[in-house]
Amino acid sequence: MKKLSGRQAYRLLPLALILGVSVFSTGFWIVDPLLYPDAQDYREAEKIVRGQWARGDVVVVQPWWAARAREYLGDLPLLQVRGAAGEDFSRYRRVWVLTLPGHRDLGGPFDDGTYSPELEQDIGGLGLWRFRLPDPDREMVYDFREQLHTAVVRYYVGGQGQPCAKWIKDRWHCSPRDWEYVGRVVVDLGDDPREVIWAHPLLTGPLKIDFNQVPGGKSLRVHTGLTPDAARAPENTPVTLTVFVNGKELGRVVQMDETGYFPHQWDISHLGPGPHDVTFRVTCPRPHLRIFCFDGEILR
Amino acid sequence: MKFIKSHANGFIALGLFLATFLALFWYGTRVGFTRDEGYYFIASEHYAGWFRTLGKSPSKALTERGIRRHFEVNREHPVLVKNLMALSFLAFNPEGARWKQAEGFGGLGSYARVMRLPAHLISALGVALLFLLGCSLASRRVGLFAALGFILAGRHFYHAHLACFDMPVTVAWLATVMAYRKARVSTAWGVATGAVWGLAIAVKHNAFFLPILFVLHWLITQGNQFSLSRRGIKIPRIPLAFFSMLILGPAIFIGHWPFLWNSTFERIGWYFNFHLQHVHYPWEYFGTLLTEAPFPWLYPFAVTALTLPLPTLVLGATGFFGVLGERLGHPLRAAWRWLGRLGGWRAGSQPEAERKPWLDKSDGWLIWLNAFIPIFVVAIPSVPIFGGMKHWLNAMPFVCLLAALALDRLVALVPDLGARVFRPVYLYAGVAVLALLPSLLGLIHIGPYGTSFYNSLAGGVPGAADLGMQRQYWSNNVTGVLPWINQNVPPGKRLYLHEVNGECFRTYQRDGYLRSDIKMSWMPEHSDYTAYQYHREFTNIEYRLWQENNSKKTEHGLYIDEVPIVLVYSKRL
Repeated sequence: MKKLSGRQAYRLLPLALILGVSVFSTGFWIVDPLLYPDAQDYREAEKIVRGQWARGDVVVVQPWWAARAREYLGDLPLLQVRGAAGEDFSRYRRVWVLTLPGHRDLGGPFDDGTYSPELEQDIGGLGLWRFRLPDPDREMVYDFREQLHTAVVRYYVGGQGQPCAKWIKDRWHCSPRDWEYVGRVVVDLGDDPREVIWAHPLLTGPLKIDFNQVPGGKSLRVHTGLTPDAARAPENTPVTLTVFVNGKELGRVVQMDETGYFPHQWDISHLGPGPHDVTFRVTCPRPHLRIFCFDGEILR
Repeated sequence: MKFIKSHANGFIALGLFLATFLALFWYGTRVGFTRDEGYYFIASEHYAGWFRTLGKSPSKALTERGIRRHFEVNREHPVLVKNLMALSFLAFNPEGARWKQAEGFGGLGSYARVMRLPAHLISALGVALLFLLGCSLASRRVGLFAALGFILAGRHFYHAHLACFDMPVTVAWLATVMAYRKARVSTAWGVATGAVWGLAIAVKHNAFFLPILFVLHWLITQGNQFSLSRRGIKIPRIPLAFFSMLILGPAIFIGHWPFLWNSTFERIGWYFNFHLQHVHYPWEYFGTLLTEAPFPWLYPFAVTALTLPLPTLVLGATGFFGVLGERLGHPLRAAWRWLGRLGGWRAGSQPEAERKPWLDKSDGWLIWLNAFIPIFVVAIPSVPIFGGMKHWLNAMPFVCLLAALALDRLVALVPDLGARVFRPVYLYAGVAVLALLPSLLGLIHIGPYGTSFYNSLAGGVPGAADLGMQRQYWSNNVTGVLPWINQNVPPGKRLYLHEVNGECFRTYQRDGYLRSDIKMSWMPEHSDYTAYQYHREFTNIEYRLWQENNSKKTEHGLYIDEVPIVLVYSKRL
């Protein structure tokens, strides 16, 4: 075989690049599928999670689309969110994280020690972690969404309150218009699905949702947001959520024209152990396509 | 033996045709029915009714009432392929009775095989034609690489199965370009170009862009012959093909479609208007749900980059810019040489391989324009983008040709190393096999779920899910969960197959894919079982199920490398 000069060697580079790309791609299609977990891996992970499950636990999957975990653990509290590191886990005490190959870098509080790792295990192609969240004594004592069927919902026309009296399939219906209701829904707020209360404001006046016999606690926490469709609509009209406890205003949130799942929290420890009357009032000057949603909880 | 040697290319083309056809025919029943196929199946059965009436009572069939009765359905597309489907249907079911599994080819998917038979034949023809074009432009090995590179691409192989129009119009487009190329030296082909184009526009409206492309090609290659002097304007010879396209094209278009025989202009107007006003379906692209124009101009280029097998993509891009650089001429070459000197890899005269042109001027522009224009059209921000790369599938044979030419070029660059193994023919064969291997492996891996295919650059299906790309479309991936449904759903239960239209649901049942006792449901709330297909714009369907079941638990699913494609929910929870 002849010896190559330096210039001749350069002329081999383009073909070498094609060979490199071909070898990489061949390797990709052969190796990559071998890395993923099988059903046995999921079953084993399920056994561990169920065996050590405690009140206040939640499962998070990484990447967010890894839905096969729901075949095994879907009946438990489970979150599929794009950014687990930035997620608000205020209502939970421990987080189980189930990861697929290539998605083990959790980042944020999972890596910087804010969340304490209690368990780390590789199960075939699955990674399983359990983290203890800060303030482990924290407890959610009241979930407004869960208790929505006990609420009294009213809409106002000319200052007069009208009851939304029909409770049908998770919803208090306020009018024949099918978007004018207060109900439990799962919708995208931002990029992720959220279990929230649908409270589209009404044209005629405020919408009020009263909860009685609400226990006291350290804080009242809500999340608000508009759905992506609503935020895309060229309305640019904010929605205001005002929170009253025992008839006095605790605070208000002005939800600007953007989608997302925005947290807000008020200290209620000074109000005592309760029970309290909590009212949420939703208003909007031009409520066209204002798909406003919120959730709320009392944390102790 | 002499005959075989002198017609070797013809025999190889025949071999490619048969191999492709048999692969499609054998594998075809595994590919589920697309939403559009459901409509085309129904339309073809209607058209078959017209052919039957034509045979029995021509005068009745040819009346306006007789035509409208059969051809009003699915009038938004010309009927050439659907007529072929109708004839295939009639051939295996001459009485037009309700289809039974025992008919046609028998067994599971026999109806689908009969309806897809014309598409399989046309797709196989396209592979053979592409090989012949490669041979004619450069060499047998170029033709072979182009043909295999084209059909082994995951998305192309998928589209080749379907009783739809995307692959047929790609083949018709290719055939028209080949005829136009031959028309430069042959009067007969000049006439034939018009006829072939007529057939192309009888397949799908994409082919209406071909005259624009040919005029561009004519202006670019003959433009220097325009002149203006005292003696008047001198125009280069207008190709005969243009006149034949002008005359034969519309004649064949109207002639093949009985619905246009009455109220011709009104109905053609309706047809064009339908496509000019086409709705935009939401489409996920890099994490954003695109819902309305203007769309990103980069869209078709990015999707091509993530869906064409990587070696074919790199070679195609090399050929694309290589041919463009050569055609744009001196300024680019000078800049390239200057860069080369700067980089220190080439200082003196060009090697022999680089001096040899890629293609002559006319062929160079013809192939380049065909690789570029269909993609460019979809890059216009107001053009609908749903359907992924199928809307510029007609560019892909030419991209694969450019890939094959580029490989030829790169092999020619290799200096003579003395060893036999480095002789260009062996080197080309060796690298070609390595470069096509990922296409084949990707194809085997993705199986019948072609709309979900993403290449190794994207990171396969999981990489595309991370990037937030459209995970699937057209609903045919539901076949991945039908065996589980058949096995686990109790008799008589209601099933909602999300995204699957009624036509396809019924076809799955009558063709043996889905148990016939299962009842079709239209809403998740009204069903006992739901097979939900992940689409970003339809997540609310899944959320309604979570709400309804008060749980996120699924019963079963179709996952590709763990990426959920179809999820099955049950109300037993």
